[in-house]
Amino acid sequence: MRFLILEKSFAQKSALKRYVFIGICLLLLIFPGYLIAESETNLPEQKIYTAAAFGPDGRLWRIVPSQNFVSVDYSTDYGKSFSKQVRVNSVDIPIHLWDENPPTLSVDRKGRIYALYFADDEKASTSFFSYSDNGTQFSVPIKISTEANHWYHYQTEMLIDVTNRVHFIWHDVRDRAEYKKQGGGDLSIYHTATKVGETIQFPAFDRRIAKNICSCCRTAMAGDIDGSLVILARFVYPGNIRDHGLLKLSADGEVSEPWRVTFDDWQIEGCPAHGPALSISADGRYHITWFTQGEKRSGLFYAWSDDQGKTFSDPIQIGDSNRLPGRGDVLALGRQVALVWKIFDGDKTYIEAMYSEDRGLHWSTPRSIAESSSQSTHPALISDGKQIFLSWNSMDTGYRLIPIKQSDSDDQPSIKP
Amino acid sequence: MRLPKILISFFLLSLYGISLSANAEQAQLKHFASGSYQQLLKQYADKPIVVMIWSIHCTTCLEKMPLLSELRKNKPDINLIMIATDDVSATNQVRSILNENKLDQVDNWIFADANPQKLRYEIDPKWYGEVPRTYFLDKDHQRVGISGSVPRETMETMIREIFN
Repeated sequence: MRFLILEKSFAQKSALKRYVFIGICLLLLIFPGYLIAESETNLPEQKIYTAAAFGPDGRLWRIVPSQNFVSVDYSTDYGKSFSKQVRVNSVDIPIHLWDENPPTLSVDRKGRIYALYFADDEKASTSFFSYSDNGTQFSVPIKISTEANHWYHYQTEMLIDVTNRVHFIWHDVRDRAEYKKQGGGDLSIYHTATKVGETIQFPAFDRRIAKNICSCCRTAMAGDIDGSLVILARFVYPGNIRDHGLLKLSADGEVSEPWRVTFDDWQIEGCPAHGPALSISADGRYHITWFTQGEKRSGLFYAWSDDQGKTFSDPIQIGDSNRLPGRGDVLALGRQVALVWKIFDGDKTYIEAMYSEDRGLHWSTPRSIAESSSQSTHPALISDGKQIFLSWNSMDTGYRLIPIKQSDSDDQPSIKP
Repeated sequence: MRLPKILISFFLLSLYGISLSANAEQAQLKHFASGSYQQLLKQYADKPIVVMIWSIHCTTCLEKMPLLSELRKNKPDINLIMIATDDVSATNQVRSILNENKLDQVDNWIFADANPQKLRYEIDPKWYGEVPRTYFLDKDHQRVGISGSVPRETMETMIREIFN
């Protein structure tokens, strides 16, 4: 573990890096016992970092991490009970997730299951990908980045688009030398995609699609109705302003220049560790939520755009500003839009939710739909095509799937877990 | 041509590894749990203190280490408290970084609660968890909190102010 971290910090000093890496390999050969002893450091409890998605048949699929492997299971009763777990990686490997670096699970229209997670092998801390046609057996895990063994990367996101391609984007440090010279941010967003056919041929190609990215805030991604991929990230603008920008990757692979969409002027040379969220509804409206502590605006906000992100509505502030609102997620389904976020009252964490039935113009009164007295994940919104649900895990109460909008009237009390 | 460089780096790395192992035991790293912040305030009653909150994942935090080390060297009477927000499982990495920067002798703490949000709230109910986060407390423990890297001049000015 120590040498893994050493290798990461040396990644910043690229000239030395390769030699250190070779040195580590030599050390491994000569002093295997020494290194094994050093690698015994345990990572924090991994089981909390679940992720879930619905399949085309209505099954809720879930990725469930443990310390040395990830598993997948499913529920046919909206998360009340789950099937026997199936291991994704048959060979043990230390799983290494954190709240801004969770795993991802996607299910395509044919019911194929895609799993993406972060783990440490002997060469790198990196993202691994596996898929399964029916959830009974998974493909051998492969590394996403072509430079995975040489350059640290993390916060990988996965999305399957309407043309049946699976996209991956991640935060990569490989351009560090360039940033040292030019300044502005720590790393870049890299992208790769592959057609989902009978088999998945993983491409030996990835490329930079954005520079000057804030290293610690995860990036959001959504598919637009024109088949392009839209990416919302926290950029580092001149003067260490950490506001958000959008960029587009068209269906034919053309990458747009990023353009700035939030103007809060949060100046911080540090880690906000607080990424944005993005959802695009079937009518093409972009819905975004983001956190800032800017000079001009501070708190958690929501806005929408009808011109593909060129201009946005006046931001709506979300959550009680005395209770640390943050970790927002947004999801649109037809005319419905749901927002969830976390608050903390000094004792308990609550997930609050509100929804709109008119594309984000009018909103229900925020209400608390789940709570925990322990560590918990960021709230995530998922949909089965009919309803929007909160997918959330906490140490004390375990995994929960909670519908955002109750079938009865708005006056009903909050859902009790 | 590559081989000698490889051997040299291998040799240096071995030395480095051995020296880290030797030093790792020296750094006192206390567990920061519920109630620890109040305990700190009591321990440093009537004294000005600088509290630097950091994480091994935060590049800016690591870049600030040499400055902190230098400040401490030039002004050993500053009560510098460093709190790593990493989980206790990162103890070895935290120790290595502190040793590397000769900050192992300051009052060092590491987050040790399953719910880090609770610990952050006890330190400051207005703090969202961004790092580095630095607090300057005067002897009455009136404090100023700054998020992000604190430039040298600001650091020196703030320290002068809390000592007056």
